[in-house]
Amino acid sequence: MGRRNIFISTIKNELSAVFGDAGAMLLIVFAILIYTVVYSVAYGREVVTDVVIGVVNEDNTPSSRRLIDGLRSGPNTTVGYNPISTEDAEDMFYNNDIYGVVYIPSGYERSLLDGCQADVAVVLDGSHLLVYRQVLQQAVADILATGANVEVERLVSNNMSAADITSLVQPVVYDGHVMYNPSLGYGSFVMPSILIVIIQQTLFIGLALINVRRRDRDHIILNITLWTSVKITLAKIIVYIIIYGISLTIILGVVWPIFGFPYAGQTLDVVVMMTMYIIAATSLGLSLSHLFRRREAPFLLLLWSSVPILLLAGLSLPKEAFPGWLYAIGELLPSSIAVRAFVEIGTMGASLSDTSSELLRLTLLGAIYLFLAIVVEKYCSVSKKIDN
Amino acid sequence: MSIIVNILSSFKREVHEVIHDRLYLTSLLVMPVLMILFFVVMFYRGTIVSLPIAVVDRSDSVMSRRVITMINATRGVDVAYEVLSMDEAESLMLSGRVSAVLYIDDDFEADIYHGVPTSVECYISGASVSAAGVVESDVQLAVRTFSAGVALNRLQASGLSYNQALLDIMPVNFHTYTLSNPYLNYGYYLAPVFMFMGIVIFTVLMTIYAVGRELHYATAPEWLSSASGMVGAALIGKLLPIAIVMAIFMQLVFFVLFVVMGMDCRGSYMMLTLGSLLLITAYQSVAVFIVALTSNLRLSLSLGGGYAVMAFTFSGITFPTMSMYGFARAFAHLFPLSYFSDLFIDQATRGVGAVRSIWELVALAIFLLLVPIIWRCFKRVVSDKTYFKKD
Repeated sequence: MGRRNIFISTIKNELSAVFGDAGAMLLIVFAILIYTVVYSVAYGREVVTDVVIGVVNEDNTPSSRRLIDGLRSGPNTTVGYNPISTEDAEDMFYNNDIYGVVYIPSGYERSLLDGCQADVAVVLDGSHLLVYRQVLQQAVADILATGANVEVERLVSNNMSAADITSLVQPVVYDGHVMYNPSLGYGSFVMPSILIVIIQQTLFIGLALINVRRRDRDHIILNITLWTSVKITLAKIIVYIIIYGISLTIILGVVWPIFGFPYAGQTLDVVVMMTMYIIAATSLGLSLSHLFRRREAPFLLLLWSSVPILLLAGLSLPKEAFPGWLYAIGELLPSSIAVRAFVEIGTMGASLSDTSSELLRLTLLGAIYLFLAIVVEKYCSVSKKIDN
Repeated sequence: MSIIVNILSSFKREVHEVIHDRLYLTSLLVMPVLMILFFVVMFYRGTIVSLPIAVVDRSDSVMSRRVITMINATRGVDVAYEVLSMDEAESLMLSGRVSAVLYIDDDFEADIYHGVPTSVECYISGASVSAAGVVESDVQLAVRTFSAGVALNRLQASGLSYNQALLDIMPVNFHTYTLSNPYLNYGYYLAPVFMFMGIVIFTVLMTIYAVGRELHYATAPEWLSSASGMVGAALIGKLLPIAIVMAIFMQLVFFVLFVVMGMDCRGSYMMLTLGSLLLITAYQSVAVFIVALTSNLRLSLSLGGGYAVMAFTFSGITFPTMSMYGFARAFAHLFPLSYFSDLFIDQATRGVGAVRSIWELVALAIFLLLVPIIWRCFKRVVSDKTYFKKD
């Protein structure tokens, strides 16, 4: 194969390396589609609703039943059981039949009618924070609403005017608006990050697999020029931009709408950002691929790191929850920056200029890793086919 | 007796393999330690604190500054930016620098003094559900407390005593009791299952590697002959070193959780240990099943690795299984980690009686049946040369 055609021949070789090897094809072409669908199915319901709770109603009066009606009508909770005693409720709680207990003691209505303070207890399970939050939110909302009604009745009985009552019941209201993911859907929140990490992980493992196979078959170390190395590296990167570009088109064009994940990105912005990310991730993957000598090694050494890499991006778990130096280490990975950039552009609809600081860092990281990949290719390039 | 001798002989051969194969040694002993260390550092703090938010204070009054100070005093929120317009604030949100924007209108103070209901608007980015939850609850609580203070002052001004005013604005007093993980520590909630998932990944991959490499490098006859041709003894001897190492790592995880991170173990430690042993052997059974089915080391590693990684999602710790689609709920039953994470939460966090976790142990034990189910196929694969050296 002639020197002039090295760019085209590398593209052909790389494509045949991916599509001619079942393992590489499974990782680089199908894994991203399979994982995305499976995780979307798991997280597709988005919101935790109808959490079953129990109510111990020792008061058993119209007022206490009104409070229970609120809890029953949800949407976060549903009253599945009315245990007679706290012991019964405890038993159900530990059997996972109920995930929270509202306890209304006897004398609840009496206290309200007498102008005293009535007590209600809510027992929650902190072992699952999403369930905990849903039960707490619903219980607080219903109890506060009941309290507000009683407050109005009391103020009326104190001969206050309607205007005074309005100003006293809630003088300052918390007016909350959730942006970009209004229902706080879990899938909408976590899937963009997962997608970015899958791209990087499949690239790292897949490229290592291909490189080791190439070494096993064509164990001749070539002495190529820097310019040839540049052409080979760029040709390889183009192959992965095309393959992942097609996968991402299917995922964002089909899987995302099916599961209703929010997507507010401008196509061109997403294409630019993803291209920069794939360049950076492929370059790092190509550099790392030379560290492995056996085909099973990338699985054994890299697979476990998927979740740590996801966490290091500082989004699924905010960076305020873990040490700054650990976050700084994570910034060396293209995925950490890309997760945030993709969420901002894809989910929140930010423009390229809004995310300029992330894109700048991604470009810098990509340039460093591209340089590294070119150098590594120059000194570690292995081939029989390229006559140089 | 001969079975024990053969198991021991296969065991010794495997230990020798571990010591002399650098990849085997690193993956079995070094990487799990790195994984545990990572999660300890990641979750040691355990709480989300000081999430940056921006404020657009159009009122710029004593009252608005007071409510902002109250919001800033909460643990989860830090008023990091005070900007002049919503456009500036939106730009901060879009660039990911703040999790929320507070907007206080020009008339905020005047409305309070004139008895006109007013509001504190809070625009929260839903792009991070964990951050949004913290911001929402902290800001809501601060605003509600501020509002109660305003109402209390007004009622006292109208002639009511402090106690009477308090009874009027808070007629129903609710008490919350959090029975498990009362400090709502993210570390106690997430770190255990992340670490178990790590152990599961290494158990599956190492088991597949240990068995699969005998096929890949065509050394299965040598392996079987170390156990005098007894396939069962050879397999037990091979799996035992991995099981022992992983069981020790599980104990290390428990030590890290209960001693280093200060988590309570409210239930039966024995049940946790028994469950961990069954978890490891259950995943080893799955790994043997996969190798027997594919007779290909690399394909087995791909399939086994994918299966092991997915276990975390279907354990229901991040998004509860009960809220998933019906078929996803059914799918979750195919992962031993789902049962073990339930057992761990019940025993360690919730402190239910040991008896209540017996079903989880039985479910884990059922996975061991995969080996007898695939046994004939497995024997054929390790004995027949046509299954060797597959790429």
